[in-house]
Amino acid sequence: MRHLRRMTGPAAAIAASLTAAACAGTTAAPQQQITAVDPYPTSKPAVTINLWHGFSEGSENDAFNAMVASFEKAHPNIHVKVTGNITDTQIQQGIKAGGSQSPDVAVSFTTDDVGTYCSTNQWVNLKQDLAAAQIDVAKTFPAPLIHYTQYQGDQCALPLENDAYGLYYNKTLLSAAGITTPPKTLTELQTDALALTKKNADGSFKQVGFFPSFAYFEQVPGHFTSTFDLKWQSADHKSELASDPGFTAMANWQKGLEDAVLNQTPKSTAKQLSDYMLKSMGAGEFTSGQNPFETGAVAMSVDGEWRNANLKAETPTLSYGTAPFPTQDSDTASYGGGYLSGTVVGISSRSAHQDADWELVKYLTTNTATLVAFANAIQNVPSTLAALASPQLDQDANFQTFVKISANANSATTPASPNGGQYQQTTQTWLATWEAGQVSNLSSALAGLDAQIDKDTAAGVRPDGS
Amino acid sequence: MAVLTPAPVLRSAGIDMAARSAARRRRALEWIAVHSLAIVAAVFFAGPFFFLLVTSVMPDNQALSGALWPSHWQWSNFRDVWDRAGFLTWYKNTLMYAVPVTVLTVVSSVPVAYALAKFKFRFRRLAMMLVVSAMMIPPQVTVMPMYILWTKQFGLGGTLWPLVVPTAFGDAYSIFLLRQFLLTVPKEYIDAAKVDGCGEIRTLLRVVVPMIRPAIAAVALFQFFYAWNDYFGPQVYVGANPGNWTLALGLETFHAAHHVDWNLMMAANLMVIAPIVVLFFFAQKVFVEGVTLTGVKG
Amino acid sequence: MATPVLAVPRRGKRADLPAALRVKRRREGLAALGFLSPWLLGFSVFFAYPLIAAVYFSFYYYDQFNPPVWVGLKNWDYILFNFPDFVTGLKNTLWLVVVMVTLQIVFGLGVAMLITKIKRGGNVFRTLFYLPYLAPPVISTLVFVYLFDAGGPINSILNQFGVHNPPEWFNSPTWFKPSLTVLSLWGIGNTVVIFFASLLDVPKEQLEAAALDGAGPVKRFRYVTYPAIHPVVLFSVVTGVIYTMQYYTQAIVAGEVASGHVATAGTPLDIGYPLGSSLTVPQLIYQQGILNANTGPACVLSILLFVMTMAFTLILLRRKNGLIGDD
Repeated sequence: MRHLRRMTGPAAAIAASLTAAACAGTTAAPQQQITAVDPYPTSKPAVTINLWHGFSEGSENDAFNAMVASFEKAHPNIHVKVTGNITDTQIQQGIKAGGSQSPDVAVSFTTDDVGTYCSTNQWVNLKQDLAAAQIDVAKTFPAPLIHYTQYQGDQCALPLENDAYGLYYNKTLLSAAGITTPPKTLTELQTDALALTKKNADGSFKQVGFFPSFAYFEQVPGHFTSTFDLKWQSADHKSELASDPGFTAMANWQKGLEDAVLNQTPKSTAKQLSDYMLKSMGAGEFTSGQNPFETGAVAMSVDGEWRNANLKAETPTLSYGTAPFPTQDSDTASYGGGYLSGTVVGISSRSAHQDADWELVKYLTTNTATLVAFANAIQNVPSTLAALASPQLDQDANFQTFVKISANANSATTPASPNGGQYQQTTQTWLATWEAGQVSNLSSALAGLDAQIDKDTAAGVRPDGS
Repeated sequence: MAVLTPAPVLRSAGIDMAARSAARRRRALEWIAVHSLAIVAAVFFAGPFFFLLVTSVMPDNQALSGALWPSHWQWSNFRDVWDRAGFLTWYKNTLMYAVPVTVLTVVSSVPVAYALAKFKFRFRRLAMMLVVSAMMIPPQVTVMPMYILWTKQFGLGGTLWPLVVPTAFGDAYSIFLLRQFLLTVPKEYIDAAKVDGCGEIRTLLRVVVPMIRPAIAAVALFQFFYAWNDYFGPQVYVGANPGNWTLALGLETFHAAHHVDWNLMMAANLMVIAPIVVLFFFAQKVFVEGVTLTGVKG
Repeated sequence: MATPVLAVPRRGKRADLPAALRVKRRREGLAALGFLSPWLLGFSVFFAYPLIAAVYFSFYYYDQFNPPVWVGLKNWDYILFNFPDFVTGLKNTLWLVVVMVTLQIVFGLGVAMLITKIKRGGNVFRTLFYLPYLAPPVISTLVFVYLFDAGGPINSILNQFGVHNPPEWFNSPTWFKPSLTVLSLWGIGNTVVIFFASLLDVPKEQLEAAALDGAGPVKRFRYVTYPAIHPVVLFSVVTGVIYTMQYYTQAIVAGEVASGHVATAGTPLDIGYPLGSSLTVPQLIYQQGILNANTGPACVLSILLFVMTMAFTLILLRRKNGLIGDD
């Protein structure tokens, strides 16, 4: 959903290699580069387009800018004015305001908002451009990535690098507790979590195996979509949490795990666990060296593949491993999948240079060499099938876990909704009340939650039902 | 009378001594109680400043560790903050918001307050009611249509113009304050000026304005601080444009976007609050006078 | 107040005025109009227009991109009956108005009275108590969220005093608003100075006379001090209520920082954290209108906020005409 990635440490070398790789790459990877129609050939007059992106600082910015620079080298008549550290609200406001300050091409971290961009026509439907360029999305991108970049048949975005989520585990702490392999089922997860939880005599916590909470950083409910096979919505975008056995299973799983952790001798109160979690989270998710996983406050947690970059740069001595998140006990065959999301890129429908924009978007999303180099630089999973298979891709075991998750058929994503990620936010707020023990009847509460989500959606979309 | 004094004096002298020492004891207890409470209050008001100062020079990772005193004084934090963040830009933008707002408010509010205080006309009561009601309205009530107007009709989204332009037409609170103060200006001065042949504007500028200087200074200072501290206005209009962020927006972002630890966050806070405190010490008299004006005359 | 001989007659009854006065009045009226016109123009554009436009937009669906679409009362029905956050926001605003404003007045008055009793160095204390008021709200909120963090200085100090299980302050639904109240009391300096100035004006002879008559401190306060400072107290109550109806910055910044959800200035997430306890109606307007571009519902909320504010101030001011009266 929302994640600002951060990298310290030298990626300048990698960034520099991007330019070289890009120039070499344009001729070396033919399958994406066959363009029947060149949208903005070099014969056309020079033009400047505004590109807004969400990468915030340091090496990520450098890597992204290097990618753009390689594009400009290949297309000298298109100058790209880049603005970084942009959030999704800013993109929407910029497009709505129009004028010279608005973006022509936008790169957004908020995958959930694709539904809004498509349904309000803020981003251009790229179907025609893709056809003219002879790009078959089904053969170019993994299926879930296509799923989260389109809404009701409108392909208004394309993926630009992909995020996969899995389990990070602290090898040192696990071996100290006698655990040699990471858990593969939820029961094993619970057993391991309990073994890895250390308490003081009064029940307060010194170490937690796994935080049983949806409020912990990346453990938002959406990230468990593939684990519990969550459908979220019906085909006509009505919320279907009450009738989804997976959602009930997820809620009960959280409660069971939390109860087990609290009841383990010596008994703890919910407040003691909450205090410990808050204290661990206090410095912030991305503050260098102070993420609870980095400090050893928690032994296992859900996180995205980009955490590898932070860990490498901030705590290189930490011995850790990555694996797909455990499956439900009844569903072990689906082991290997995970939640997929990612950065998306689109063209503003207000842009006056949509052909030049498409030239840029096409380059950014399909040029294998630059995608691989960029993926290595920011430690994201590349977003095309060709790039996933590339031997130049970082072969580090912890990173490859996520590459495999991305290609796994069991991986899933959350559906787009016409009012963006609001249903995710509402669900998470409701789960906070569930965790606080304020829900007495689960099924009626979920029915109420469905009703509220539907009402919110209805209030936020055009009345003709788009 | 002289006959009666000796006896009562003698008697009251005796009672007086006892009463006086009891009163002395009571006064001493009161002194202790008052000053103890004052110390407690001082700790409450000064405490956060103390922690702000102390945390801003802590080394990394120490801020939330439970230690209350820095292990060593890391003065480089300030340099670090300055290098990382867009402080210069934020300062510049905040000044570009606060200074025009202050000047425009004063220039546009004084005539309005003068008319409301000194002229008698039929709609005076209604006009005052409008001023008072404008004072009461939360900015969130008018923001939506104004936001749409500014961004779509005038294309000024992402700039500070939507916040500055309205102050050229008078600020309700300033008008109210100035008007209350103007009511105390005796009419004779104004009449004298009129007799000397001054027109309305001349009277205002030459005679009235010099007399209400303290009120003008107070209004200017309050308006400046309102703009300096404003968060909602800039968030709505320039939240989409980091190049135009004011200090309020930049600071809030700083912790999140730069992934900094609290020590740098406090250093950043200190760098913003220090000039304000300095300004206050120079302008203390104006401040206190102005505050007294607002509260007591209202 | 003594009415002069040439009293201003009731509106409309101008016929009995001498001619010269009528001419003077008209001339003054025109001059007044001249002086007032910029403000009247501003009022129409920046207050009257948005209020009317808000009513207009409240009947439309408008995503600020495609043209507006008429939806009648749909937005009203949604906000009033199908939007639980509105009720939460109302409750929180009510809590803040009743509890926070009351405590501000009481505490401010208490501190002001305390300073009056300090003969030497009273000015130093007054300056010290005023300084926090100067801190920009964003800064004071960040400082307090840090201070009250689970691992922060307040809890460390409480730990030294043997309190090992402190509340979760800004992370606790029960303690969030009290923590905000403490934050607002920290910035009470302005009110203190106002009260202090007005306390100085309390007639000392009356206090002494009352003391001689045997009145204790409570009686003296009730019968001498309070009547003298009553207008100032009322003014502070009114401004406090107005300020609290708009309460926005501290609540939204504290919730955002305490929740740990990474966000930049453009997109506060999880408004109302924790569990809706910090939600206020102004925040809802921002969330609906600016973040989610739900213009219609946002305008409904704007109008409701306006009505609430007007209701409160009318209740408070119904007996006080002096605010707009002619002296």
